[in-house]
Amino acid sequence: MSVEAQTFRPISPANKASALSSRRLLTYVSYLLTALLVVLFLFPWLWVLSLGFKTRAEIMSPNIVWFWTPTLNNYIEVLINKGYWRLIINSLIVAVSAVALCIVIGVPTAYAFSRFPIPGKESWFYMILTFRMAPAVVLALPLYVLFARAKLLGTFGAPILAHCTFTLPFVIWLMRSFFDDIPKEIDAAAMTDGYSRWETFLYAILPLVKSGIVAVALFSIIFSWNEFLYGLILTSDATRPVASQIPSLIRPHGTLWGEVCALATTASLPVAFLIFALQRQLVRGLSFGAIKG
Amino acid sequence: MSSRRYILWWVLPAAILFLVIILIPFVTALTFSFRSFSFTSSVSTGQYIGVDNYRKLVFDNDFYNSFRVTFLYLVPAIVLQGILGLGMALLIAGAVRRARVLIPIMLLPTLLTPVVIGLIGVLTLNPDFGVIGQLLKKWGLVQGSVLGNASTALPAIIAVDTYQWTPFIAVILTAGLLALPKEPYEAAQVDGANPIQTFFRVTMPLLWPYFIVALLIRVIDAFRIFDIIWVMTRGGPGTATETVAVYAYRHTFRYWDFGYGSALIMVIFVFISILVEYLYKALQRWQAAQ
Repeated sequence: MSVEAQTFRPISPANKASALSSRRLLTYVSYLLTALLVVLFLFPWLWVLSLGFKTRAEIMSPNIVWFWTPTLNNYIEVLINKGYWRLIINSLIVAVSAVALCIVIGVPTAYAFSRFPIPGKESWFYMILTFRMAPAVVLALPLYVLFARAKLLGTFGAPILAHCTFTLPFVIWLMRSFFDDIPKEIDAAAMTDGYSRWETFLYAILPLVKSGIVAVALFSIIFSWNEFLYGLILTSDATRPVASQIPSLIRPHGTLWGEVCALATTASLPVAFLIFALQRQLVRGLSFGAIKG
Repeated sequence: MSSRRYILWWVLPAAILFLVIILIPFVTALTFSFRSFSFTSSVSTGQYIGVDNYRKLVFDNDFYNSFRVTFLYLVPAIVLQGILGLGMALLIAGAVRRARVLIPIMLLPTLLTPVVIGLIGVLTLNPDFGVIGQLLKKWGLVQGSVLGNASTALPAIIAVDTYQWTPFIAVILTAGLLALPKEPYEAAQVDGANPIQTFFRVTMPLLWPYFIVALLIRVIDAFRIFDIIWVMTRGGPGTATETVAVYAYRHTFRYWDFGYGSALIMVIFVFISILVEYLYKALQRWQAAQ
């Protein structure tokens, strides 16, 4: 399928030769523009990254320093001397636990939603989406009160359960779209071979949605890693994830920008890595499975 | 075989988790919204006060202001991102098909930790040493600090939001462009349509459902935006950048007014559920069409 032809048409036979060369020119121009765009979108992030490798004087210099000898002092100071490497571990504990829990619980539910005549199915789905899209502040207050009563505040249980409020709906919603892609005939064939429903799910269907489960898990880890509000109010210093700690390091005066940038860089590298791991599933995850990009 | 009791076992664990972490807290907040809490008074310890919190809300100018700010941020942001995103999508889908490998790179701002995006905003706009803030100062566009000025703080947040979300819109529209059917274009060519006519009469209508999904997600996001504003301005200066989520946060976790905060939360939730209904229908239509 030629999208080029669709977008830059029509080309009549009479001026085909000149059309071809102008089309080649257009291609080069759009290559150039696309390259510019990529630079444009990466530049602010890379610039902030670069501050983490500069001394205080180089950061604060009124003339921006473009060439300098990179230093690792900010990283050593913030991660090791101040012990903030713990925050990265905390983020990891919270994200992995919440996502593992929601995958184990949510995937069979998504299969049930895809295959069984559940009463009020669409209303449940609408409700799940509504809570997925509601701002964190809606549930943050009651969760704070309930977790305080259950003596969960300050334990890892609090942020893990709180992150399930958006991870579980996401897993159910997106996994259902992956199950819907698989023809029901495969279930029927497996069950004719004597598999029970559960065995069919485990041995016939799950292997087919393996890449879907990986994508949903990686996406959920990104969202959990990025979460700010629950991680701030439901945790103590010992259990706080890194994203929730960064804003408190920015002060009206005397902010140690180099260290903040070093910490922010450390926090954003796992996300950058996951984005590349996701590649082909990015569009689908971002559009709630609506667009199979 | 697929009896109701049998189905229950498949959904029971998820239903219990949903009940404990979502429904019970939500109902708790609903009951709070009819009660009075105050940590500065020994009288208000959670007694039932009927709809007083909601009555207070109706006369609360700051509440209306937070909705006004949300829309002042939302409308320009979406228009800007829609136009830029469409341009980017045409570029990617139209000429550089191999550019699909660039999609992950371009989505970096969208998926990067919002707190880090906010930090990028704060630092690049810093008037003393930020790459953009310095230029704005040199050209005399802004006096002093961009984020400390009530008239430029919201545009700055819109700019950062655009940096974050334009790639998202572009990528969704690119998926749309790459999935366009061929036949309408052949018909348009037979009819002698020029490229501009083809774009507005054929491409845009076919692309419209993709626009709808992207825009609805962004509208709902406008009611969620919190982290970036918290890092960049904390809702200030004054209330210039105080969107509904920031306002609700101020009443719950700054003033610890659980009653009034819960009433705010309920109003926001009603708004969200109306918007989600449209999104839900759009997504349903979509899945039915495929």
